[in-house]
Amino acid sequence: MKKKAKKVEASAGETGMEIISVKIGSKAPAIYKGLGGTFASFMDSCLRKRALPGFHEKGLIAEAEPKKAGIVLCLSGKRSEAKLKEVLDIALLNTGAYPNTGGKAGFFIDVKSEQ
Amino acid sequence: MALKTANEFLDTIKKMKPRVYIGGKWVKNLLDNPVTRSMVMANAAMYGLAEDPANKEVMVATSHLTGEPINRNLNVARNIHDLDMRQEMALLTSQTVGTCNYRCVGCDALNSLAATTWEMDRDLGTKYNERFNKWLAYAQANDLAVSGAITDAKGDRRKRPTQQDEIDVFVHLVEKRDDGIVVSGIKVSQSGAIGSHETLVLPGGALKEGEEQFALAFVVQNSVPGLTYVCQYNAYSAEREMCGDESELGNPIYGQRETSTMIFDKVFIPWDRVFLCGETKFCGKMVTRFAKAHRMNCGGACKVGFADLIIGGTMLAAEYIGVEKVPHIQEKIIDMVRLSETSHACAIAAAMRGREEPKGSGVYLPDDLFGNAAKLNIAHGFWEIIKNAGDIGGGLVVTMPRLKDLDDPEVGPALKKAFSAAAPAAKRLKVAKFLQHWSAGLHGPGTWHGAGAPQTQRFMFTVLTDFEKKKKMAKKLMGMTEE
Repeated sequence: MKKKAKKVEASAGETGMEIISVKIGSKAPAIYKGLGGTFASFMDSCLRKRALPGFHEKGLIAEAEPKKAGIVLCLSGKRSEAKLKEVLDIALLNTGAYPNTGGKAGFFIDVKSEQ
Repeated sequence: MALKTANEFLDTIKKMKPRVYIGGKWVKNLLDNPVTRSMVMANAAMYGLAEDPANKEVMVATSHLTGEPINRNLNVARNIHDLDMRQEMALLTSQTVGTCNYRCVGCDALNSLAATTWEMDRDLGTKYNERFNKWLAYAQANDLAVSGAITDAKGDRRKRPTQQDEIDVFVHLVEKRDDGIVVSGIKVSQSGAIGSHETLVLPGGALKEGEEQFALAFVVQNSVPGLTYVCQYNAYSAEREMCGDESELGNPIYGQRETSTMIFDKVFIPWDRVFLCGETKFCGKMVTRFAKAHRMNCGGACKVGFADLIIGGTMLAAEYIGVEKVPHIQEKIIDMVRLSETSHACAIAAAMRGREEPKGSGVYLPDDLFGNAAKLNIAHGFWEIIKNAGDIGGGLVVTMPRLKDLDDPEVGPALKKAFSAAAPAAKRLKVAKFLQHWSAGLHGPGTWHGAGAPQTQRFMFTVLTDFEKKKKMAKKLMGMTEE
């Protein structure tokens, strides 16, 4: 078990914190900071539970595809960039990640709307 | 930014979307439902107290990890003064909101974790304490509201966790993965997780070899998929939902004490949030250390704050009917003070006799015997206190009409005649409703069971008391010789 724990802690660095970049459309990415394992929580929610943290209705995630150190999310329905930003802001806060100014992101979330 | 204001806390809570069910309905917004709102407002009041410079000594501590000012609810006690201020915080918060400080269990849980993870790392070579400190620094930096969940549903008490027909009556490990663990199971009687950011989950009791899957301590974000809260629902919940004007209620803003049943359905917890996984030997210590802290705070200080409010309300009730100088009334009020202050004295003694545990950890925990004495005393004393409140408050405490009925054009004038005494009817009914909240509400059984039912304190007395030493003393004084 110790070995497995070390693997994840290494990704969070010495401070134990993770920087996550959220890209929506053409705008500059929004940056969030959370405890190590925050991105793993987010990934687990999207891929295994097929739900965004804080959103309990089924079918919000149309597609979720893991990429290297990241995930590409497609949310169902037609949603503006502002709405997508609002949804992701709530989802990340509910995962324990808070808005941060700057920092080198180790994890990436790319979000688009279905239509 | 280590200290949030009450408004900043409310801003974050508006975006928190836990899956909450209450009285047959799903709650979409915690601030829209009158019952869940009362819980959130009590949590906000804790932030408000820390903002007030007058409360700084009690509500604000210095982080031993960063040196920054932090809310005392996130502090690890490092000396006797910390323990003393911790119990004073429990007193102040209860006096202020008349309900739970919903960060209280989390505070005592994190103190137990600080001590026990340090000991595990020392004895087992694990990295739990390092991991715990990283989480704590993050919680302090964001001034998170952290609640605590301890009590498992437990099922058939004759059976061990592995023998239960339904494994979910204990929170347990479902899967161990590279990136974390997956857990299922049910915790009950949990105070305030719905309106907090995160919840510390500890084992519900001591565990034996072979019960490793139940040996878990972790912290969970409160809105992760798979986690559902079913809130308590009772006459007070219904009254708050239906009354239309909360100012009429016994505790208008903060309500009764709100708890929920927490259902974990294959919830993922990343390793960085896991503080014990399989080490059964340390579960008993973790729970005992939590109880040690919680009995001082919940028993010896929190309920004393409630008692202060009840005594105040009872004195007003006596004054409003002109009996405040009657000797037997005064005697009963003095008895209420005696019962309550005795518990507070035990809490102060528990803090003053606190010590570093384990040696070398830097973590201070209260004295076990005095903490248990504080809790056991108030468990019994609280019933006496509310009995006297009901006695002096009179039958009106449970027979009163609605306060709003005084304004009804048809029945109002008669009611005003009926209930005016040494004070106007409105004042009398307001105080009667306040005493109803305490004496006919949920706080009696809540005080009895909170921080462990009295039988657990009685058991601790048998463990912590050196009866042989006492017999020896008596024999020596009597001049009895050893055979």
